[in-house]
Amino acid sequence: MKISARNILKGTVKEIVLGAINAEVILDVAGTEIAAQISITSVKSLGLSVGKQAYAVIKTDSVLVGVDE
Amino acid sequence: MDEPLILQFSKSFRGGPTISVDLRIPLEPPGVTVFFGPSGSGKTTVLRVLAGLEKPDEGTVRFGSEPWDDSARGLHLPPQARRLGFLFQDYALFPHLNLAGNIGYGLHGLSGAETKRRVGELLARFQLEGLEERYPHQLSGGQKQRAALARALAPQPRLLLLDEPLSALDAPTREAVRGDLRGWLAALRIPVLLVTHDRVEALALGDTLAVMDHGRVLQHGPVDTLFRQPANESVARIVGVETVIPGRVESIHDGMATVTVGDTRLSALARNLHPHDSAVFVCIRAEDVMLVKGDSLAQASPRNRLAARVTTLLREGPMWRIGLDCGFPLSMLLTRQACEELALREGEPVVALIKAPNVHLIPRRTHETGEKRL
Repeated sequence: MKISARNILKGTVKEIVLGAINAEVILDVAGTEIAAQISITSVKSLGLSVGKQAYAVIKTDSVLVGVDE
Repeated sequence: MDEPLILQFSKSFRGGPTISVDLRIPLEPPGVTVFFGPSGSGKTTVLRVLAGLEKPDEGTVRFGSEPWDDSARGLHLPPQARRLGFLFQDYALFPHLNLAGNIGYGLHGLSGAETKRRVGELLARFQLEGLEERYPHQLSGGQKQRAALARALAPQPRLLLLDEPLSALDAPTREAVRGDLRGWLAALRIPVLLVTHDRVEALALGDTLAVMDHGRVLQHGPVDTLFRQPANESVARIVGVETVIPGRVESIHDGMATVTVGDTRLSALARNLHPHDSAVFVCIRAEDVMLVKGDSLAQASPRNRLAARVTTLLREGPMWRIGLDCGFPLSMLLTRQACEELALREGEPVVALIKAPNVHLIPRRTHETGEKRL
């Protein structure tokens, strides 16, 4: 895929929580949950529904890194 | 009056940088000039010298054909002789006077009835009716700000100076007042000079901007030019936002605004917008833009999918700064690896993706119609 973002994770839609303008979309990526905040218009135009395959695209500068100790 | 306001002086304080300015500000047509820069850059000193509260060490201040300061001739016109209004950062309302007393304070030589009429006019204009008997401590932050503005304007000054006019307000009040202030200032039809260290305030309120740092004016020009084409790295660092461009709100629907910049249409969240707002500045940070090539990710959630062409590729430390033309110039940052994988070249067609919440709109209210002249 020719896209500038470095992280492209394939998953399935696990849950969609609708807000006033935005929706929270939870993707299951190999057992790890990834949450996305996108507009309701986008949920509709992408035809997202639970069980559908989708990609989580994350820019490197949006990824935080932490350790346990 | 075709002659400009001329500020050509230096002033230093013990332990601070020497403030040295050489500016010509047109008085006709009257506009809002914003002195913008970090704290300690000397912008408040410029305002205080202009007001006559400080005396320049050397140089001149001229208001059109009137000399206000001329160190060579030992000339220094006192503040009250300059006939200007000054809004202090902390408002400096007189605690022992009620609101009507504060607003009428500078009205000399008017009959009681005339003073009353003038104060009444200002109370109405700044939505302070019914509060005339209250004392400053009985007013909200926003009311105090409007009261101070009314007091500064009461004697019909020829020039209005505002020092950080919104900094004493809490964040929600500041946002509400910001838009109103632009409308009030635009309706005054006298030149306004305003000092702020806040980027959004500078964008929302200014017609022209003078960016200051270490006592010097680094660049002076129309507000969108300075944000889009900073003259040097210092100005770019101080103004901070990569893409700032004038746009028009076409419609607001379900909390989303559709904005046009030239022929390009953008979606943004409609927060901070009133239904009648039409002129805005559209701000987009370089790190909020993604690029795709060909039909990759043909369907994606970002509401803005802009056909673009690569105009420039510039190495910036570990990142590349990419200039795009998507109907307007758009700047973005890419990691080196992303740049290599995409094999970007100048002139190449690409698609820029921007999430709607990352398109920030700053309203520029004019309120010109139906406003009474003071």
